Amino acid sequence: MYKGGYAGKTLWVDLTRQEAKSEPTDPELARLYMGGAGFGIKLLYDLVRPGTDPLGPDNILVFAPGPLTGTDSPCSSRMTVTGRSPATGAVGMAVTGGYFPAEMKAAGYDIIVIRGQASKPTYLVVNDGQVGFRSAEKLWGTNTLDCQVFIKEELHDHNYRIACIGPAGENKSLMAAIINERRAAGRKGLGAVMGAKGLKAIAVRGHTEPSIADPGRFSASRTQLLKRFKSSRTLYRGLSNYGTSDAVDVTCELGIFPAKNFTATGLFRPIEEIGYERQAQDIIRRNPCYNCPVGCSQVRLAQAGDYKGTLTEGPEFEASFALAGDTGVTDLSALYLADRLCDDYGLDNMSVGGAIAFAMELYEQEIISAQDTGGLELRFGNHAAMIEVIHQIARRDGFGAVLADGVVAAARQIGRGSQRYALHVKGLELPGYDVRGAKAHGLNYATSYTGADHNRGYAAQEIFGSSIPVAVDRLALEGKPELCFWNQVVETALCDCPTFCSFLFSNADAFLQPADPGLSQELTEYRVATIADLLSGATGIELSPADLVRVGERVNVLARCFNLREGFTRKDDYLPGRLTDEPIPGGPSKGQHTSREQQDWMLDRYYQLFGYDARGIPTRERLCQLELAPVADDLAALGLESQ
Amino acid sequence: MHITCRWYGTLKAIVGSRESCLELPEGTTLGGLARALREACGEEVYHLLGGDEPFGYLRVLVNGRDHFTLRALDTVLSPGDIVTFMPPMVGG
Repeated sequence: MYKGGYAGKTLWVDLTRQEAKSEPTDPELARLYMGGAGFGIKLLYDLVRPGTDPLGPDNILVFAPGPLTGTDSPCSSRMTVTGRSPATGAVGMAVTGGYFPAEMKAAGYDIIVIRGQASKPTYLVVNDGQVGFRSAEKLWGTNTLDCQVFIKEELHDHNYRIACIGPAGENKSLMAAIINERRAAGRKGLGAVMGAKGLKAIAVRGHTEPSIADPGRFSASRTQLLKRFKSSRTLYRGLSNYGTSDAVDVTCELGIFPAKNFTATGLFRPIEEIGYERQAQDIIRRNPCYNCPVGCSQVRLAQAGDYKGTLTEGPEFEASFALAGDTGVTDLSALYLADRLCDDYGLDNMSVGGAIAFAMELYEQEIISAQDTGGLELRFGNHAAMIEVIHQIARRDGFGAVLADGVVAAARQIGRGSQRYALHVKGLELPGYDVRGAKAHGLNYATSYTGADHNRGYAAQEIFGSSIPVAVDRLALEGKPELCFWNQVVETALCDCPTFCSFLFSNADAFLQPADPGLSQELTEYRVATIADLLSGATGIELSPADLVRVGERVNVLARCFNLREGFTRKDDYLPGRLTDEPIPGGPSKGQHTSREQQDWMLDRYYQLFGYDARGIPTRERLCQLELAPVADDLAALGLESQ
Repeated sequence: MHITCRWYGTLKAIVGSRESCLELPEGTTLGGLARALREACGEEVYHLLGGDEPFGYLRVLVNGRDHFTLRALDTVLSPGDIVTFMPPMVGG
C-alpha cells in the first residue's frame, strides 16, 4: 500500500449522465503500473473492448500524472493522456507538461477517467475534490488560448489550470491535440476524441501537496539528482539557453535532418536560417514547467521575415523539422506562425507538417494540381501556402479537409498512387529524424506501441552521442535491438510512469568519455537506482531498480497486447517503403537505408528480448512473469497464442 | 590535402566563422589535425579543443560520424573530409 506520492483518489467521469464519482486509487494498480502511461494503458486495456469506435462514447480518455508529480521532485509535472487513437486504432498515449499535471494532483486526483459523450458542449471543473459540469456552448469555436482565458474569467480564478481543445478537436481532425497552457498532448488525435465526447476543457484547481512517505530518503535522492543536473554539460548550458532547437544543427551535421518529405535529406540543411543560433536571437523569455530548474520551453518573437511580430512558445525541434525542414520552408517567422497556429487551433504540429509535406510532394510530382488544392501552389518552400492550409485543416475547409485526418486518410481519398508518398508507421506520421541513418531509432519508430513516435524509446546514443548505457555507431545494426529494447523499457519506467521529463532522462548525464565503458555502466545503474530510490521515498512502495525496470517491461508488453487485440501484427512493425528502399540522397548519411531484410533481422532479435514469438505475440510464460496471466487468456481466446 | 573544419558554439565565436579550410599533408590523423589547429587558429581554440588531450567532452564528427566510432584520434583523414566540432548538445 502506498503511503505517499499519490493523491489517493481516482475520478470517474461519465459525460453521458453528467455524473462523477471519486474512488480510492487502487494500490495494486499503483504497485504494478506506477502512474502516467502505466495507469493509462492498464485502464485502456481493461475498459475499451476490441473494435471500439475511437470517436464513440465507449472510448475513454485517461488523464494521469505520476507519483512524483506535484512533489518536490524536479521536472515531474508531467502527465499522460491515453485513449484508443482515432488516427491509428492503436494505443493513443501522449505526454504533456506545464502546470496542469501538478495542479491536478493538488486538486486531489491521481487519475481522471473520462467516459461517455455529452449531449451538449461541456467543460469539467475540478476544485479540491469538488467536481462540476458546466456548459461550453459559448466556448465552442474558441481557440485554445482564448478558451483558457474565458474559463478563468468565468470561474473568477486565474489560478485554474486548463486542458482544452481548439477548433481542430471540435471538428474531429485526427491530428487534433489537447492543449494545456501552451503545452500539447499531441500526436495520435486525442483532441478529436475529446471533441467527439463534447468535452471542451477540464479546469483543475487545488491546494493539497501529496505527502511523502519517507521524507529523508526522498530528499537525499532529490539532492543527488539535482547535483547530477548541475554537473551536466548540457542541461543548463544547452537546454536552458536554447531549448531543443539545437537538434536542427545536430541532425543536419549527421545528415539525418529530414527534408521535403524525406526526399532531400542531407541536401537541404537550413542551419543558418532556422538553427539554434538563429532561433536564440528571438528568445524573449523562458517558460518552465512547474518545479523545473531547466526551463527548456521558450517564448520567441519574430524580429524579421514575412510574419515579423509573431510570438510563439516554441518552436520545439520537432516543429522546426515538420513545419520547416519537411516542408522546405526557410522563413523563420513563417515557422513561428505555423507553430503558433497549431497551438491556437489545437493541432499536432508534427503530423500537420507531415501532411503538408506529403501534399507538397504530390503537387511537385503533378499527382495533384491547383485544381485539387483550390488554387494553392503547394510547392516545397511556399510558406504562404503552408500557413493557409493550416487554417483550412483546422476548419476542415477546402483542401484542408483532405489533409485534416493525416496522411493515411488523405492518400486514401486522393488515390492516384499517392499512398507511396504517405510516410507513417501504424498511421502516425514520421518524426524529425531520418532514421535511415540511425538504426536503433528506426527500430523504435517501427515498434513503438503508438506508431512512429520518437519519444517512446529515444535513441539519444545515436542522435546526441550519449554513452548511456553504451556509446554506439549510429549506422551499425549490431546491438541495436538490445539498445532499442533498453531505451523503450527504461524510458517508460523512468519517465512515462513516475512521471519525469524525458529530456532530462536522455540528457542529464549523457556526455561522458565514451572510452570509459566502466563509467557508462556505473552511471546507467546510478540513474535507474536514483529514480527507484526517489519513488520508494515518495510512495513507501519499496522499489528496487529491477522492479522499476519490470514496470517498464510490463507497460510496453501490455500496450502491445492491446494493439494485437485490435488486429495489429508483425507487418505493422516496419518502416515505410521510402526508408526501406530509397537511400538518403546526399550529405553525411548518403546511401543509407534499412532494407526489409535488415529490419527483419532486428525485429526477430527485438521480439526475443521482449519475450515475443516470431509473429510478435508474447509467450504465456512471459506474460505470467509480468503478472499478466489474464492477458494470456484474452489473447488465446482470440486465437493469438504464441508459437 | 584539403580539410574543412566546421565550428559550433564558443569555438565558432572565437574562430569567427562557421568553417575553416586547412591544407594538411596526406595521412594526417585527427590527432594531427588538433595539433595543426593550434597553429592555424591559436592557443584559445587549441585549449578549447582539449589541449594536449583532445577532445574532452566535445563532440567531434568526421563526415557525420562520431570520431569514437572510427579510430578516435588515430582516424586517418582523407582529402575533402569535413570535421565538425560541437559542444555537447541535446534536444529533440
